[in-house]
Amino acid sequence: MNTINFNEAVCKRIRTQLDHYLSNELSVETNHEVMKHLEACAACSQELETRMRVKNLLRRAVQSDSAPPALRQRIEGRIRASEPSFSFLSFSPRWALAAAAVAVILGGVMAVRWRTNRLYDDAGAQAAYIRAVGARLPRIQTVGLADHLHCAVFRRFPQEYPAEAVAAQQLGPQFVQLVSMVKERMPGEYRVVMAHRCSYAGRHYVHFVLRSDSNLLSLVITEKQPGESFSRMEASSGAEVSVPVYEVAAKRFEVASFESQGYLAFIVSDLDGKNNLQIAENLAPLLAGFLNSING
Amino acid sequence: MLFFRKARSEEFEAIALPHLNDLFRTARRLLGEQAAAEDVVQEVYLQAWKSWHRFERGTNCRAWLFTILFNTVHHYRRKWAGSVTNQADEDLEKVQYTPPVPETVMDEEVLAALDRIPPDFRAVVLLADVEEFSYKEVAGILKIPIGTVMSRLSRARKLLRDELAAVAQSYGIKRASQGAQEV
Repeated sequence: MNTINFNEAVCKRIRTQLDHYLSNELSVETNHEVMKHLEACAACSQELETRMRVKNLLRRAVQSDSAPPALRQRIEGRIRASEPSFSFLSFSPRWALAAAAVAVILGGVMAVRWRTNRLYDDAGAQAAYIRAVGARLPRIQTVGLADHLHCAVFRRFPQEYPAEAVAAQQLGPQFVQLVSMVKERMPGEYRVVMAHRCSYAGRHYVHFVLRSDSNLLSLVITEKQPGESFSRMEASSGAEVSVPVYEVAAKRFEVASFESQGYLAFIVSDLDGKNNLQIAENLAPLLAGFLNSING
Repeated sequence: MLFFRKARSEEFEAIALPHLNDLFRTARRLLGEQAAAEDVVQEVYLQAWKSWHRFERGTNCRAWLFTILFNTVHHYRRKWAGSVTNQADEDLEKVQYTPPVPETVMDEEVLAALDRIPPDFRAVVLLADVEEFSYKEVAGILKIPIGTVMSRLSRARKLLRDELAAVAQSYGIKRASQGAQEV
């Protein structure tokens, strides 16, 4: 049996170092001295073990707590909201270089105008942007895209999204059923931030804006004008789907569209094409049925 | 430059947001209330985002965020720093014999014990023992000398051991009284 020669002076000195030994903050020499002492002294060894145990208990207890998921979402929301208004124009590095060159040529005046959220406030700039984004699309597909950009992207939303009563009032009795329909068919992570009737470029729309933590999505419905139909285009949805859906991409936006007898409907978002199409397919049969029913 | 804003926020989210939990639980232990901790952590991120251009890439983002956290907490509670006691060094002169600390303690009891420790000591033990910052980093985050970090850490650990030993004692008392009832 080891006889421990308890030397109070040595133990006293070692124990003042024990915490720093535990934190791995000692110089090599002192570390060595402590280790040597610990091999020989059961009391100090025991003491170290206790301190280590307390440290581990503490770490485990504090780490058992974690931030509520809503906090992360709130922070991300605030950060993204504080970005300049044109941040939704996502450029690839190559385009960014070209764009930067153009920006230099246009000079400081333009930069200042951009910075003051010009796109939010200037109808002409908005119209030009909307035309640019939709430039390569068949005209009929730009109908939903334009209203999404005009109304959902350029608009500053109230923090609180409308109560159902407000939405119902804004939509009017004819379209009020859409509120529950949207709620039922849209993925759970989307909440309605706006539901109203609006008009843009001479057309009238029923417009829902939905938001998830990272995406913005519009459901846009408008009455058909003479001759308007998607039927000449090739559907993106499979043959088994009762209401065909047509999916196109415009810059970073995706547009999925379908029709009833009297209406065109669009899902426009910044999702990828597959997800955007899926949301539209999920909604299309119910919505087209409803639109046909109000068409008389 | 303007065109890279989007990439900037993505970069910020990728580098800074993973430390959210660490910041939150530290704030929670410093402030006590969940709501206050949430407010402070949100403020920390907004501050960090505002001064993201000043953050040196490649340096320790976590330590940088914790520095902002302590500034914010300090701001949040002006009086927070006023409660340092000066006992620490005297006590360390004596050889420390720790009363027995129970092998298993409930997390809640550990947290309650931690919450009873004066805030300045709590801050150091959280940074060094839970978040595992080096003494040098702790000194930088709290803007105190390394010697102070060392003495506060030792003191904090000692206070925590004493608190937990008291918990052990209460276990003993409970057991003893249960035993007495059985007899």
